[in-house]
Amino acid sequence: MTDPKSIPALQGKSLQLGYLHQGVRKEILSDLNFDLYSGELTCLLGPNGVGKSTLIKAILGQIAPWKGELRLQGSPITLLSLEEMALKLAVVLTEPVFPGNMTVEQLVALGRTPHTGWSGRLQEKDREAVEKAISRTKIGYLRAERLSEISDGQRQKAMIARAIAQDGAVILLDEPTAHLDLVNRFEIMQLLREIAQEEQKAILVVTHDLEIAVETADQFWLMTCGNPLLTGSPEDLILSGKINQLLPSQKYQYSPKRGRLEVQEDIMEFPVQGPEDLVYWVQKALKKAKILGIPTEIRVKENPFSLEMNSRSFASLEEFIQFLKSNPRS
Amino acid sequence: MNLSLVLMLFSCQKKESSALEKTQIPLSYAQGFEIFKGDNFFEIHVTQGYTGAEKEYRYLVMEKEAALPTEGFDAVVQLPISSVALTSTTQIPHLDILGETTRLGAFPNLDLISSHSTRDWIAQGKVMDLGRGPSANPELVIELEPSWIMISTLGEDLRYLDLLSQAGIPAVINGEYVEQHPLGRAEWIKFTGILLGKYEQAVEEFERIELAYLEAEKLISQAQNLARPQVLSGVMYQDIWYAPGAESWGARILENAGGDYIFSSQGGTGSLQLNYEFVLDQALEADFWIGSADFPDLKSMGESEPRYRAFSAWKAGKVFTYTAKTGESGGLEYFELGYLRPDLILKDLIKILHPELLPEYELYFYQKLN
Amino acid sequence: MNFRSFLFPIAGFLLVLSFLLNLSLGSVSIPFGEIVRGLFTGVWEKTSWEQIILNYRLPKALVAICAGIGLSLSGLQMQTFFRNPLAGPFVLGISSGAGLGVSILMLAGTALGISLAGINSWAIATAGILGAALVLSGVSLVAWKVKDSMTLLIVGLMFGSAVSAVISVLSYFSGAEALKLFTVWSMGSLGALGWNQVLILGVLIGIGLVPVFLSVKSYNALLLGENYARSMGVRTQKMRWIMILSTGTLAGGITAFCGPIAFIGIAVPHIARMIWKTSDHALLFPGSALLGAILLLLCDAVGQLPGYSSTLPINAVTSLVGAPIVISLILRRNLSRDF
Repeated sequence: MTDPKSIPALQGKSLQLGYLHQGVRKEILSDLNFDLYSGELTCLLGPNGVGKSTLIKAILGQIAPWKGELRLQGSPITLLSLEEMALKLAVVLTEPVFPGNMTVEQLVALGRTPHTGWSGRLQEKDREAVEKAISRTKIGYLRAERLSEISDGQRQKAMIARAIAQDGAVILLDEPTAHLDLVNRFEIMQLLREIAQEEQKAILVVTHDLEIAVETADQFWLMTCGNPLLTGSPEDLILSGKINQLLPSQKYQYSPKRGRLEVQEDIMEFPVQGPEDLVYWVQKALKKAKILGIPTEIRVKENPFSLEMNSRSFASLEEFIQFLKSNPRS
Repeated sequence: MNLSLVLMLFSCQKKESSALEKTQIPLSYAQGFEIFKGDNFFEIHVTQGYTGAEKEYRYLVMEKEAALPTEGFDAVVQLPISSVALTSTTQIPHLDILGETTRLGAFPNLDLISSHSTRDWIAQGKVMDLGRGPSANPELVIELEPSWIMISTLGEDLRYLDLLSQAGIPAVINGEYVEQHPLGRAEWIKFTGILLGKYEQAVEEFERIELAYLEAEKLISQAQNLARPQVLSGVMYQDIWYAPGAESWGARILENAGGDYIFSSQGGTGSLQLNYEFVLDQALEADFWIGSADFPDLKSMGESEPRYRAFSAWKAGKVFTYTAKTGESGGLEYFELGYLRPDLILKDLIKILHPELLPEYELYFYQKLN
Repeated sequence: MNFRSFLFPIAGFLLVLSFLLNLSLGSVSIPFGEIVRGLFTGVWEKTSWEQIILNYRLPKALVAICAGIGLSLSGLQMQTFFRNPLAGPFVLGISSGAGLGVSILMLAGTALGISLAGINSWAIATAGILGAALVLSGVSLVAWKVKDSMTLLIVGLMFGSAVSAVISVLSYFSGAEALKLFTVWSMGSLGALGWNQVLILGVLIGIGLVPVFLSVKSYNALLLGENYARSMGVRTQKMRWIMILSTGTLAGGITAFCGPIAFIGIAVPHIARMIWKTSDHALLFPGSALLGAILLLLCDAVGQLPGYSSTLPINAVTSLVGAPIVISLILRRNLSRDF
């Protein structure tokens, strides 16, 4: 999918980043290499405290790299002025700042700030860009609503529309799906993927939402303590098991089969017979209920669900577990 | 139980203080204090120590070697006295006029004093400065142990009353500024006289001032077809005009001097705060402007506040103010001696408003701004 | 064209109306027809009326307009910049600074041999401007070092408290006369200025307004916070200086000439947001300016207590009018969400 010859929209070369705190240099990240390409949705994943915010600050030009180079569309970020940066890079940050009196349309129009004159008056092409961003994010029905009167998910879409209206090559989003419900999380990420592909934007999303990221991202950047940045498509990283580097202990594992994190407890299999899906959930329920063992084999059936043990039949797992607990020796 | 005990104590105190054999000596003008003469003592009751005072303060002044029960008094002074502490410049002339200038032992902010004799005394290093705060420094007072301290309630000295009485220093309240009659203020000389053991001399001095005042007043009340010129008074801060109220001491003297005080419809014993346009409307054509802060001349007055220039009195140069005599350290003698010598103020004003009535007299406190 | 497009003409009309009302109300009752006739023909029935209108009410009304505009716009800038609905023109210690200058002149001046009579409104204004500039440069020095706006806000408040403490010490040691003079100043006054001073105040307000109208777009971007504003190419550090200089000139100049005037700066921007139902500074700046001028003209007219010989100090009137407005705003809706 990546055209190897094209210039990366954002490129980091042997970056070393850190802070000067009370006269002491504190290194946060070193030897960081990455390329961010247009038309791709890239997700940056990593545990808290690994240096994601430091990297974001460097990309925003708020801190200068100690070593290495950070290039935005080929030009070193340290040489770009604030105004030039604003034309190339738009952001959606975590800070929840919402002037309640502002309408969605006004918020999106703010994205045109780097393009307008001193008065901030919108020209024809600015209005077109705002319209496009609104229709792109499908929030036309919200345009006259005030920010204090819409939901968190709708507000996040409006913020994304604002970033699109800013019309830079790169859009950086810092945990855009935090605080949102499951459906909104999917919707937002799906939206970002569409935008990346259809608008040919390079989109970098910092997220903790591994499962949704796997579903939607073109590229993963895995940032882990003490290791170099791992990049690649999510699928490759899962198949090679590298994805597990994200996880701090052996207790949790990414299950390629189920596409999710699982707790790896002492393997304890209960003798259960029946369709594979049903067996999985029965096993899970028994483990969770801390059932130590069952005397004989059990069978599960579907349509309708039923469970049999020693010729007794149960209509739900809850009923079954209740029975096991009240008759520990049966 | 406890309450009744307290009440008993309280009533006992009252009884004893009035148990001494004494006769009241009536005062002519002053309303704020009463004096009683006993065998070898004076008793003074200060009924108006400050505006709206409800508590009556009782002082016992014992002559030499008298031994009397002292319960129930707020302060007990034993004559003869050695040195005293004063807190207001208006109390300074009392010592001067009674020839007791050298009794002054302490005063807050000595620079405020203008009296020549007292300044000489200060120059000899005999007077302790009690500081420039709103109240005299109580530690210095206690350290000095004066025979008594006279407190003016215009400042913040009242709050140290208990502290001083615990330290055994008689603190007496002088409420002369509450008096509305010009001679009432002057009559407080009797109060100081008793405290200094010079009552008879104080009475003589007061009668001399009273006579002078009444004689001057007579010039006006007996004059035929006297034209009463309109008089404007006060100054403006920002756009608010501050002037003495119609029932105040200053306004009374002005009326006695044959002037028509322009704000006579504005009651009140204190200071008036009037709107600039109201004053302009009322006083634009007033003949005289008397009492206009301490401007050195008309020009600087007009420059300081251009709106002063609209008044006829300013245009005609008929502006008088009380700055003729200043002390060597900057104080104005008017504010020091004025309370004790209303006769001089009255004559000054008569001289200004009706010069034909006092052809020989020279202005004392007032001067004309040029 | 909807209802909102008529708001500016309506506000403009109300401004003219309150200006005329302010001119025609005062302790002395002058028929409105006489005022109009006098203003247009120069012929007055009474010389005192001419004096009152031309040299008192007219400059006072113009000062009310200048001060209303200046205070509201300083307040709006501060509220947006600090994203704090309770920020006002005085949060950076400007009014305390002006108060310091004036109190040094009045309270310590007597000790240094300056007579109280020598203290005219020129001296007061100069001292006020110097004092405001002094505190403002202290705050600016901090602004230079500190990155975070919230820290700047807190430092400004601390500066204000420290300066107030110095003023208390000066008051404690000053004479009754000087203290009274200072108390009068701290009550605020719109009518103390002569024409020359009105002109200077007008020029100061004009200078203070230029950066405001040049930064409409940046203030809109700042509604999203400094980080977003920077990401949209707004130089927030530069904006901070613009804000400090503009509010310093506006609020400092007004406080120096008129004394502190409370609540206009805090309340008016909120009223403007409520009326125009917007957070767009292209509307809020002119809207707040109009409302501020109207409100201060009306407050002054009320404070004149028409028909009475006394006047209420303007600072008391604005507080009495402003406090209920702010309270009702808080009760009616959540201020912070309504920004």
